[in-house]
Amino acid sequence: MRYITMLAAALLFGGCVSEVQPWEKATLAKESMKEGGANPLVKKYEEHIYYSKEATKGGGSIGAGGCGCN
Amino acid sequence: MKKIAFLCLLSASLAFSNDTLILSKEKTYVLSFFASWCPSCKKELPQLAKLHDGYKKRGIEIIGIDVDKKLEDAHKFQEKMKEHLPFKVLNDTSNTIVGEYKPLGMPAIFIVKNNEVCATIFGAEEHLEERLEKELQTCKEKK
Repeated sequence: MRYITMLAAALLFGGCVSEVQPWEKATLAKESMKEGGANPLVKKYEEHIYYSKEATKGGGSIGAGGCGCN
Repeated sequence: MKKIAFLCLLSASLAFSNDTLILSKEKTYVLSFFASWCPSCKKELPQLAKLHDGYKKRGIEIIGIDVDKKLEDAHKFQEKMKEHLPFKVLNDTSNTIVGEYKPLGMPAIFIVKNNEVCATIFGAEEHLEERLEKELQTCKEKK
């Protein structure tokens, strides 16, 4: 029974591990996929609150876009 | 019912409308993979367009390959970039062509000679002309 459950789980979640290829990143490149959403002001406010509460700054993002270009 | 069947057929034909890439052994090709959602591609295409005439005289053909999955997006983008696309553009909606070349990033350029890839450029290059010349020279020396 345990093996059947494991097999079913593997079949069910097998699709979740497929790697997104660079030419398939159309959705990831959307504005709305940016951290903090499409509105940069919202992210700025959120960061301001976070930095004020934590008394620290930086380290909240990485220097790259979603499309895998540069 | 007939209407639904017709719509299904239409959407299926649109989803699978894909151009094929046929390369001759005698020519050198610069294959440029791009997409409407890729900002760096918008920077690269005008640079390639400038090189088109000179390359044509040298027997080098530039072929653009749009990897957009939706043909509508591809057409919209190509219409917008019309003046920067003086070369042949193929629509690879099923991603068959790009799947064969497997670029590491977008935009991607593959230099193909004798039906073999002899150089690749991934990501937008600031000095594309110089880089391409260098790669073409390497390809020439490889023979």
